[in-house]
Amino acid sequence: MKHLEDDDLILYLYGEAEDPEEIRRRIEASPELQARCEALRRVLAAVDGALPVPERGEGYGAEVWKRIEPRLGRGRLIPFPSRPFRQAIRWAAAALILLAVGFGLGRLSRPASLPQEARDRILLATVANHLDRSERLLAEVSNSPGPADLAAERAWARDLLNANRLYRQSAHQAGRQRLAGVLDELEPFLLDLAHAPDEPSAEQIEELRERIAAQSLLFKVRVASDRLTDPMKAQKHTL
Amino acid sequence: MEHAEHRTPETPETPEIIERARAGDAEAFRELVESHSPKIFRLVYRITGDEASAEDAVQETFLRAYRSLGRFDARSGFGTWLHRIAVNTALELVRKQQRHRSRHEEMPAGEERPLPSSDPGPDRLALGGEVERAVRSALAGLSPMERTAFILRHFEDRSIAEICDQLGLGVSAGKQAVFRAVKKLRRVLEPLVQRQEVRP
Repeated sequence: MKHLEDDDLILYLYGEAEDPEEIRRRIEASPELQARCEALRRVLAAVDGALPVPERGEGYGAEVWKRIEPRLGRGRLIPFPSRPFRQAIRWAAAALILLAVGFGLGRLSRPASLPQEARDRILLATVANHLDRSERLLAEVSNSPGPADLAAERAWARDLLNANRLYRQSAHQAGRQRLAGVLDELEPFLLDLAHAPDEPSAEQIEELRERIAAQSLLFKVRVASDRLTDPMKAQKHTL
Repeated sequence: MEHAEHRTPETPETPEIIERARAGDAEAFRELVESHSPKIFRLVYRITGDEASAEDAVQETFLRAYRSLGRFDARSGFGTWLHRIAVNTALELVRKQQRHRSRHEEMPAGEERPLPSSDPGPDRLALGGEVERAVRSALAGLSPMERTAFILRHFEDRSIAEICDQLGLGVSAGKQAVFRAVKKLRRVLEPLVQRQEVRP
């Protein structure tokens, strides 16, 4: 039976555990779990009343309106296109998209006739390249000596982040859950790195490095990349 | 889990008001602004952590909503749509301030300019209790994404799935943001909570 982590208890307390009944039973049966759960509950309860929001009077909405109205165009709103006009725009856009898709399909008709296996290989090579770039980024952050300017890494992470979302969704849809899982774990790190300050403090950099180490991110990305490009090598990693 | 506040129900707008606003009726848009402003202020105040930034975020939210009204899908609730805009506006503002602050910290002392801060000001320090100060300080130590995800989960009662949807995150990313936030808060608050229990 899986050991209950604090993460499981957090989800349970927020009513989002996958099997709350099972967790409840296990908490009831274990004084240690009861103590951990209770400690978490008390911390979260302490947060409840600790962030009071300043009061806004009855006329607050009117005040907001007064402030934004001039910025909307001298007090008069510019009407949005009428429904028939919007409909016409949609039809025109649809026609353009159809033209573009038709053009694209025409251009791609030869590759599309490739066997499924060959198309999969092309897709996997693209994802492998993405993982390879991610691996280099993780290594860069892990190994850069001392406090560093992360501007380049941030831009790199931003670049990888959008691709990562697409590949994660594609892997998920293609039933490659293990690959989707690695991309899913990589995403929050890329996201936080992409939004890190230009020149983070030594502490912030250390936190990023700790995350890479704690989640074995570099290792997981390396194995996933190897699994796509060289299954034999990947097997050696997992042995 | 008991929260101090629960998700506020969606303000029911008649489709007619929204349609009128989309058609350029200033009065209709004013009605929307007036009815949603207090709720949006509460939300963005918690994300930004200070009143001035929250006021900026409220205004920016409605300006963005106005500019995007044409894309609003009337099948979803107006409040839900506005909530998403507000969350992202506030998050963007906090990130911008953070970037600005990190640059600003390097400026010579004479050129310093005060910035909105999530840290408690002297008035709050005087008014607030020990736990409130600790919570504010712990929240200020979270990354903007962690803080926003936590605020949405804890105070706004949004599910992880909704948080991920609003912030454009994968499920694992959304969960991790909430977990990290709770753990950081716990590190700061647990000793205080224990001390309070020991007190008679």
